[in-house]
Amino acid sequence: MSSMSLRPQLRLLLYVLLASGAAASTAAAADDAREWLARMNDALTARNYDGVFFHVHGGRVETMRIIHRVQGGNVMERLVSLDGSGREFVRTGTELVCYLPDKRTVLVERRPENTTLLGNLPRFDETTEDYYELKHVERARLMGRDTRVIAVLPKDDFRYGYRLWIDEATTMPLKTQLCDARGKVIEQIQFANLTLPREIADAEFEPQVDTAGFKWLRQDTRNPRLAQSGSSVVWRAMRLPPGFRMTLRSAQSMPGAAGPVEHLVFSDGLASVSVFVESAVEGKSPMSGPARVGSSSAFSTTVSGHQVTAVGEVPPETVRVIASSLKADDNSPASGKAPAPGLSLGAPPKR
Amino acid sequence: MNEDQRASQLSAMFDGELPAGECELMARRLTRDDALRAHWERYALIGAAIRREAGEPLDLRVADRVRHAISAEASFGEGNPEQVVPATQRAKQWMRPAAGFVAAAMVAGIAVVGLRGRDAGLSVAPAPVVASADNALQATVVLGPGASAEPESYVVPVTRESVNFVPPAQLANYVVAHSEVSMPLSRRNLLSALVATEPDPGAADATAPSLDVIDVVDEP
Repeated sequence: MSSMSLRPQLRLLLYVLLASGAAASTAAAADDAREWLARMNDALTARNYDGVFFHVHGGRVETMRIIHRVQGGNVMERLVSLDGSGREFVRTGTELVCYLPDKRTVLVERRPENTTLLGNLPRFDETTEDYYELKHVERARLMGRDTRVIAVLPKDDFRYGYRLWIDEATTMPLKTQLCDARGKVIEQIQFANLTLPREIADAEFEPQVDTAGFKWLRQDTRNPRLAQSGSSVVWRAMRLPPGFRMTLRSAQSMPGAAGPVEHLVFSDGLASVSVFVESAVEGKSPMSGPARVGSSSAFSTTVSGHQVTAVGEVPPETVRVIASSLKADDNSPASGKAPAPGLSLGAPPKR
Repeated sequence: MNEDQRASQLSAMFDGELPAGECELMARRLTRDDALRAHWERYALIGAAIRREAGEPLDLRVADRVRHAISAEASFGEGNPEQVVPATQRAKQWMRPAAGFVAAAMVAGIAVVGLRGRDAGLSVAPAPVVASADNALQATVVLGPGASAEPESYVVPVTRESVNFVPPAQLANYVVAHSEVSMPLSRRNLLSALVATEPDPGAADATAPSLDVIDVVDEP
């Protein structure tokens, strides 16, 4: 075999090696980005930190301070508005206390004992990459620090993406942008000051709000109907956006609800949508239609005498589709008729 | 252009998202629009607030430097239109602090503070236990009958403009509860939005019915 005849084969081999090298490089970049995301999530949940950040959304900028401490397995967190509403949220273990001085109200939210805060969290894995493209963009300097810029790009309009500037030394996100499928920034959070102290004193978690004369609103944990919930009424989503699946179903008592509230969680591995179902109260106008809280979307509707509300950090259409598709199982008392056949929304066109 | 749109543009400029040409227009508008300039100066106050928070003396020159930067940029924009950032560079604006006004914002807010990683060399704490809880969750998962079926239809998402931006108390409760099952990053965003939400006097009536049925107790 002459050297001339080998050339095409060598050329082909070279192409294959280059192509496989490029593919491996892309995969390695995705793996690298996924690792940075995992480390960032760990840092956000497991480290002590105290920082001031800007929250930019809808043409408004607010300055906030967040203090987070993990000590002996107990999580404490305080989030306070420095120049806006003066609101403060203080989390202690399973209890979250919301101080709302503008409403002269204190709201106490207690997570059910049988749910694990960290265990319920979505995680980014291989299946998630069917709906998001993960990119390790580059290294960049931010605030005098070396950061890794990671882009999580949604592949359709049912979910949002992120651009993250992750500090190399601490893996804390110094800047995050929530973006839609076209890359438009919806919300931005950027730290201006961040410390990672080994210890944080209890005093740092004391609210600065004078609550004299405030209303304290708590869950009625003695509600006897709570124990009965979830057994007779089964709610199902008949259509879901691509990639979303139910990951949690629970019943809980909530402030403002006359009875137990069914809480269903749907996730695509990164984004999550909560659906709350509660009995409509006579004489009380139920919420209806779309709403927004910051970058979160909500959609409320009435199904079989129950108010159904979907909430999530996703586009408005996603919560509308999920809330509108909820039906009571035909064996449950809440159902007035047999449910429609199951239907899943189709896979969106790939970008 | 109404006030909200101008504020939105200002925010985009702060984010480095506003095209350079529009930055120039904004610069001219800032020189004659007191309300907008007040909004801009609020960015300067953000930096001041942070300095107070950190226990450092307030540097009043910051606001002056911002004004100076605005003034310089405005005249620059008017006299040298050919200096507009090329489109190819604008496409990368989100990756870097924008010039001019954004630089002024940085002077006002970002540049006056620093990040102190006192234990930057510490290793990251081990990840919380997740797998076992995930496994436990599988027992309670109830999927819709067709959730895993092949696609039968596709709905193109649309953005609806007529939305309620002010959450009634009930919706706020839902957001708080939802934050508990979100990723750490999303949870921070959710709670931040709730903390930042401005009260709306018109929403008082809307929240009253839900508050009536809440278990109200006196301050402990």
